[in-house]
Amino acid sequence: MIFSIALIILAIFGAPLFTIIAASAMFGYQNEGIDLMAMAIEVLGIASMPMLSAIPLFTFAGYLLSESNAPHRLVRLTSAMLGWMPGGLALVALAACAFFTAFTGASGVTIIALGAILYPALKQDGYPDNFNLGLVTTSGSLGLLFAPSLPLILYGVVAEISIDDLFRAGVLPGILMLVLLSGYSLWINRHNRKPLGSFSWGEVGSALWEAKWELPLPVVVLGGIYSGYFAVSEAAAVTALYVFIVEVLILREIKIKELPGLMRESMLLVGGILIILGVSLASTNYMIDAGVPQQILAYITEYVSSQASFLFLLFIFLLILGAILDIFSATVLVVPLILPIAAQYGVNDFHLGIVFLAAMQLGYLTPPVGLNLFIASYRFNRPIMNVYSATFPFLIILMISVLLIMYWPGLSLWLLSD
Amino acid sequence: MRRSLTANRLSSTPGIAARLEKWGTALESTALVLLLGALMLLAVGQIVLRIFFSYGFIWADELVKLFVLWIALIASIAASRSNRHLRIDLLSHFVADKYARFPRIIVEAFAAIVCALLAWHSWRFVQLTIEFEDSILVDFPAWIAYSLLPLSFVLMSYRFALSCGSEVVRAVRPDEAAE
Amino acid sequence: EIKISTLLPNQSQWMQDMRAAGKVIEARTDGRVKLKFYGGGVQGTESAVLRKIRIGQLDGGTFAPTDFMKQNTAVNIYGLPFVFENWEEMRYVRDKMDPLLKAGFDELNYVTFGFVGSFSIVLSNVPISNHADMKGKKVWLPQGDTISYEAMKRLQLSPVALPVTDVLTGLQTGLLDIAAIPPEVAVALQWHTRVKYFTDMPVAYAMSFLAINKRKFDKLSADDQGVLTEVLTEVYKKIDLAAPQESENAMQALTKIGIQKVAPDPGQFSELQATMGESNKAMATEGIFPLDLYQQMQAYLTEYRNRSAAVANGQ
Ligand code: NA
Ligand code: NA
Repeated sequence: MIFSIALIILAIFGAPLFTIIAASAMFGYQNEGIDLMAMAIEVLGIASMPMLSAIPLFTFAGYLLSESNAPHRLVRLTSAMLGWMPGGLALVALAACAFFTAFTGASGVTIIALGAILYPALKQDGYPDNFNLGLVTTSGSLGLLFAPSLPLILYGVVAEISIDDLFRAGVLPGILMLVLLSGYSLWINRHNRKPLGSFSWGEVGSALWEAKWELPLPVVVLGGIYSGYFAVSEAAAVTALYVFIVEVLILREIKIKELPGLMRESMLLVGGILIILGVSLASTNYMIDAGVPQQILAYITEYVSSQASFLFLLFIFLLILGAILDIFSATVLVVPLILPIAAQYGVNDFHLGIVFLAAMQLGYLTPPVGLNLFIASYRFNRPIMNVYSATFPFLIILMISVLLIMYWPGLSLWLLSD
Repeated sequence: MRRSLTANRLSSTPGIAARLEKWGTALESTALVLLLGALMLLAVGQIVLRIFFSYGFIWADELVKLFVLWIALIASIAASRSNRHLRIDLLSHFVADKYARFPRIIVEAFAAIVCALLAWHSWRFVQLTIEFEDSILVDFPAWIAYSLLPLSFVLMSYRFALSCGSEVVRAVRPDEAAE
Repeated sequence: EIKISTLLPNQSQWMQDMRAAGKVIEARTDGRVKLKFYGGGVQGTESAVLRKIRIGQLDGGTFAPTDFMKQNTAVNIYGLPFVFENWEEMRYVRDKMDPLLKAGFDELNYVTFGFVGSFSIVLSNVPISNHADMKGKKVWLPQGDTISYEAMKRLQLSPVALPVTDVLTGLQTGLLDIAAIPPEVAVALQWHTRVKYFTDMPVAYAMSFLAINKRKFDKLSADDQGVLTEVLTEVYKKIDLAAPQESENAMQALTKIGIQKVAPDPGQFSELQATMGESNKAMATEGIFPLDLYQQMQAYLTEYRNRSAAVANGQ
């Protein structure tokens, strides 16, 4: 008990999370009389997780995309297609960010890569400043439910469920979030009816032409899988190689000599995630050995009988979790523990996955630890409290959509094959 | 931000330490570049072999997983060098820098000790692997592949110890640290 | 307390049988021997489990012969493709040779309590009734499975090496046309939802068993060892004897959801057996498994076939 409190204090003081988790696992093993070599066995266990190679490869592809001019091309293309609508620029921002986040891994790079283009554009177009700040901050993690985003893959790896099916499960809930946020944006800007520009086939055509190398990416990846050229586990390598060829060899927007630095930079995030994954395997292993999930389950079943109330309890729990942890750490730490419990309440594995990730998406925007808030505050040079309040209405909208996703399992399960 | 400043300060001290930093960084980056490239080529090569030559390389998956393990370990050494490990770190956002100094010393020391323990026990595990003559892939001695585990924890421990040391220096001689 | 790990799910029949066996053992040893089971692979893959046994975190687990192949090449002898044509042959040879295999595990410091197994059959998206039907089709090759790889080379098939987790989608997208697996496993892994045909021909014998580390076993008193061995051997015997029926049930389940059963051409098995026989001998000479054991197995098989031919002629 004292040890746990000490660890919590150390975590708040800023100790690297993996050392906190490792310490608690070692302490647990020690108490159970298990040799601490078990730590090494568990960390090496990350090598036997299926689909793991997708994590470094998609992260690298995402960094390449955000360092190239792809963000500019994406914004131009969405403006050409949506900019003619009243409030169109807000929709442009939402759509472009969702697409970009799916491919760059929801690590906050969207705010840096796209926010820098969209924020001034929104301002120039007469949108209220707080709205712009909130929108750009929120958009940084929007699209997290769309394939092939990193959190989706990590969840599939940790929960050992079909990533292919998880990708499908995320589509409609992801669209729901987009629709609700778009509706809110249009409502807020109902008096600012000035369209960004008139619709022009010429502009659409030339924007399409400019993005001719990036646009085939989803087709190549999804088409390659569904026509049997390669396996789901190979899609990440194909994506990374494709993006590499396009941005480095064909368009040459990234110099060869910048490449090692970029690779290193992208791998820093991967190292941070995977080392936590490794030591979490150990802490999970200890907790399973000690029967912790059964104890939690016994405790919960005493007070919670229906699936609906279990889900609500889960929602509150995930809100708290998201407030203090980043999505990657939360996934590897908590998912192995909640999976068996949720199964007892008859929650479908894929539905649980989408609910978990959707709720953790709120965590990007909730104090005290919210990645998007920090990045936006840093990037746009605004006080963190200002970013909190600007983002608050968007947070509420997202919360509503999480509740809808939670109590409407069909939304997640409808596109599943069986 | 703050911690990378202190790390930079140490690395800017001329001499052996600085050279070690430079070479260490270069070594990590090279290893990461090679592994990531190999990872891509292995998977894409497998697809090409399959489509055009109806051939399959049966150890590809195990090799891929080994590469990812190595990437994970080397990248987490790199993450501790660049202070990019995930932390909750509420303190630095809500407390003025000078009050956060003492907790930070404790935190870095704690991290160094935990990594040292991990290094020690994984080294014991590697010894056991040597003793049992485990092999991976076809006949490659497993201990060679696994030695990176203790090595990376030793390096991370060293890194946290270093940053603990620099926090102590800043606490003792604040004027010098301000430069 | 004996800690045992398995990849089999907690709700599986095996788990239920073993939990029941655990209760019996606990009662008969007055609580001195307790079995604790970790189902669903929570302790990791077999290789992780073997390491955990080494450091004393676990005491036993369920394994496939391939998990021990690097230490003792003999244990996978039944797993060679196209050796056994039916359950009767298998039973005859196993009754003769099981003790040899058991002794092999003894040398590796493990106690086993019997083996259970099932024949893998061909699941496919095109009807397969002979060797020629398989040529040019993409056949799943389990990652790292040397023996299947050698067999496919010999049969001139096109192997697609993929991890198990990719097979389901692979069958659906056409990345794979054919996968060989026991029908009950196919049902458990849902692979049967992605194929159109299955061929009722035994490809290879997939075996599994429970092994407990001797270090732990030797600590028990002789009486307790006796109880443990007796009860577990009985359970394994029961599961082993039920295997042909389980396999049959699974194949009926496949038929029931509309998967078409394909009969192999007459004489097809003997043809494949002849082709594989040479390659098996070649592998044995290369040291992939012991030649003498292989020859012994062949001798028993011939003995059985001659005998049943004689019986058939006599009638
Ligand atoms: Na948060
Ligand atoms: Na967060």
